[in-house]
Amino acid sequence: MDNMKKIMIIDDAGFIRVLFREALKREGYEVITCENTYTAYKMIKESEPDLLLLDINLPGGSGIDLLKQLRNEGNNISVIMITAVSIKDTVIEASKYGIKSYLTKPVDINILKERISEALEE
Amino acid sequence: MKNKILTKIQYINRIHRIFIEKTDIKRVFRFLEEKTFPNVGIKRAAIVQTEDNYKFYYKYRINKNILKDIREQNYRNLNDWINGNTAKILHYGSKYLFVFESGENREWVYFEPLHLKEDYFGILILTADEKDISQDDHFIFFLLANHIAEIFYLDDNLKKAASLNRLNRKFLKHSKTATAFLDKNLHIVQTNILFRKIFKIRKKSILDICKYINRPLLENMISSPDSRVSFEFGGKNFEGRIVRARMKDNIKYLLLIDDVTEVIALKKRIWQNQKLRELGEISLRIAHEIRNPLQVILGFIQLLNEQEDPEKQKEYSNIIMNESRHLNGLIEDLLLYAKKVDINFEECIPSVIVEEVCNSLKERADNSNITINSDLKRFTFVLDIKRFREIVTNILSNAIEKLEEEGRKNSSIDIYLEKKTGIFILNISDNGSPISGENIERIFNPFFTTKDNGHGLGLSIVKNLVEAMNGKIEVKSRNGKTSFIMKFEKNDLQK
Repeated sequence: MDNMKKIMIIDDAGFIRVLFREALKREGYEVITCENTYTAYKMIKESEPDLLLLDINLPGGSGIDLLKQLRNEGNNISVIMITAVSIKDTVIEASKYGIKSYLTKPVDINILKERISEALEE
Repeated sequence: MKNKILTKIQYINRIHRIFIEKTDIKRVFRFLEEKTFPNVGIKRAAIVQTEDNYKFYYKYRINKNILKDIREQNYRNLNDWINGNTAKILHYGSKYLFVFESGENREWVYFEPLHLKEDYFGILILTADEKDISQDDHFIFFLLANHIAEIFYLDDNLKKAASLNRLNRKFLKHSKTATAFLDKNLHIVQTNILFRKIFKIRKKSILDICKYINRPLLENMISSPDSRVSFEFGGKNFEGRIVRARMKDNIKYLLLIDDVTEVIALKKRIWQNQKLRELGEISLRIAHEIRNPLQVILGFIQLLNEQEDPEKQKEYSNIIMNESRHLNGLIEDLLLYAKKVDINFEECIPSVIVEEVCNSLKERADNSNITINSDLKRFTFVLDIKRFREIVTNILSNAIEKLEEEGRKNSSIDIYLEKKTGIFILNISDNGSPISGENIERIFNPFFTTKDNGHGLGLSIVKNLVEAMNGKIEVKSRNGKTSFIMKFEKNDLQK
């Protein structure tokens, strides 16, 4: 149980959260979810997850802004962006703040699992 | 004697007919010169203008002597000359025939005053100095003079009418407006080519315009001459106006029709382009809205393959189905949102429509213990009935759904409908939870939704519908009441 990693899903769509929770729980991860940036920030501090699955279009502010804020505070938590936005500029922007992966929805669940385990190994 | 008169009268009739037929004064005078009356020869006839210039018509000059006489005697005008020289006045009915003797050469001048025209004084008919002119002959001259006067008058007007006609005809021919002249019974008296083309009228005959455009529509046009009335015919769109126009004899109305099919198509394209541009601007949102459900569908299908627990399998399948439906619904809403709203205005009673919508949703409201109170004033207004029903249904079901979810006791919806000068107001309010200030601003934005399963296009579509009918919609949320207030203005077709 010690090596059970905690993954936090931040996405405003309910069923996305359900999907990822179902998929990741089967892999033995602990999963917590959050639907907007207001509560995300607080939850990250309190729960200290190992990995963030972060969307961009969120109520309360862009996922990239949240990322920026975390980095500015010196928080180097592993982040994988999973988003509907596939614009190159956005990808580059997000990359500036150090992300493990940028995945565009709809993402294959197996690929998602791979990226997560890669990110957590490091 | 009798025979003589008869012959002469017959002769006069013939001349009269010729005058009417020929309607050309020159020819008439030529005819007169060539023919002679028995016993009387008409030398010349002249139409004399008033004022000081003795302008003679058609180069027919008055006898030099008479003219000389006028000048020498210093008569200011013919009137004076006549008055000063009347030798004899013969009366025939209400008219006078003046007989003059003038100068050395006696000439009998018959002068018939022209009462028909202001510019013209009368007709002089000069005869040979034949003294035994009978009364019959005088009578004939009288008739003749009359006829000439009438012909002249007719001729003049016909010339004007002809030139006007020519102008009219040219204008009508080249005009891009289909024109029809109608009589008081709305029968077609005259049309231009374009009109015949549009309504595919082949023969130039008296036609009932009601065959092509229905009577209520025509009456609408007649009663509001300042506005254009839209209608469809043969798959094309037209705008028509009727103006009152009293032209020759029986023409009472002018019907003007413009083909606006292209204009409408263009407007539609512009609207759609605008909407597409807006959609382009919110394409990120669309990507988001479509890709999320897709992720859920594809993801759960993958999980389904690895899942052995039947309960879970069922759960996953349901989620897949729901998300598929949600996605389809979203695409439908998107299309609705982007589509140009077609509006067909009709006179209706808005309260009747609101009542119908309330009745259709009553059962659902009752099941959730929601009371619907309505205070609807009854009046007529010109609206698109179908669209108005859609608007009311949308707002009312939203309110019911919201109150259902919140599940409070004493949930109620109030509907007010009242008319003020030039507008009417529909207010649908619920006593559910308030909408935050931030959300109020965005509530009509596309894709904005506070529902879990919402697409966020419903209210944007409602707003489009309201604005397409010259209305405004706003939402207020205060003092425990959330209200959707719609104001509709009178449009052109209102009387």
